[in-house]
Amino acid sequence: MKKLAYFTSLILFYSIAFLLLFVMVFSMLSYFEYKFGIQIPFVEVIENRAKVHVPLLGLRINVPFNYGILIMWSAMLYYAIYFYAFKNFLKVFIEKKIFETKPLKRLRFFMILNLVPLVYIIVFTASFLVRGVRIRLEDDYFIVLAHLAIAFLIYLYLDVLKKGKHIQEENDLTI
Amino acid sequence: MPIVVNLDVMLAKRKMKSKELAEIIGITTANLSILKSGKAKAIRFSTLEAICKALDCQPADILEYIED
Repeated sequence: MKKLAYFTSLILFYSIAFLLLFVMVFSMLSYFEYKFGIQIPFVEVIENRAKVHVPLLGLRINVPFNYGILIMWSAMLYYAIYFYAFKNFLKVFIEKKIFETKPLKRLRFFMILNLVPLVYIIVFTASFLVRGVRIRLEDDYFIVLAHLAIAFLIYLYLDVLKKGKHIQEENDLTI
Repeated sequence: MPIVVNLDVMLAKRKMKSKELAEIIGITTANLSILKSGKAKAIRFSTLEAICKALDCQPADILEYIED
């Protein structure tokens, strides 16, 4: 079961990494179609934005030609790293010795990654407040809440792992 | 730690090498080194028994309490 979870996360990571790389490359190329009229496959330019068609999945990703694309790319990069860390997090369970420094570092990294959206939402909310735009509880807030819940669970697990590591060290030094 | 391991003293008295003792009692030389250096957190009764048997001594000859 643990191995199944790990291999699922492995497939998930590579699929998402490939998808994000595809969207990233074609969103960059779409600019050439927009600016120079060069025909790029999987790309459709509509006024000031483009649509990237993802084959097989049938997805149509909107690509804005403004600063919004930077937010989109950073979110994509974040999720690529996130799923990589998630894969490493599950790897902890299939290793023979889990009460060691390496799994602890992996877990801590995954926990920090889950806290990153909090920074994003604070900046996002602050920008709305500064511009005087009314804040609406949209998907973004719920995603951040989900990330925070995951971070909290990992924090608890991290604590168990720390205590386990201490016991492991004591056991290793019992001759 | 106030508990001092006098294994070196006993080894010298019995003119035995650490490697030899490690082989007799069935632990690695690395673990014996941890024990000798006082870095060990605990010692199993079985290990203590094996050391006492190999060195023909009492636990008190190996372990000593010195107040800090």
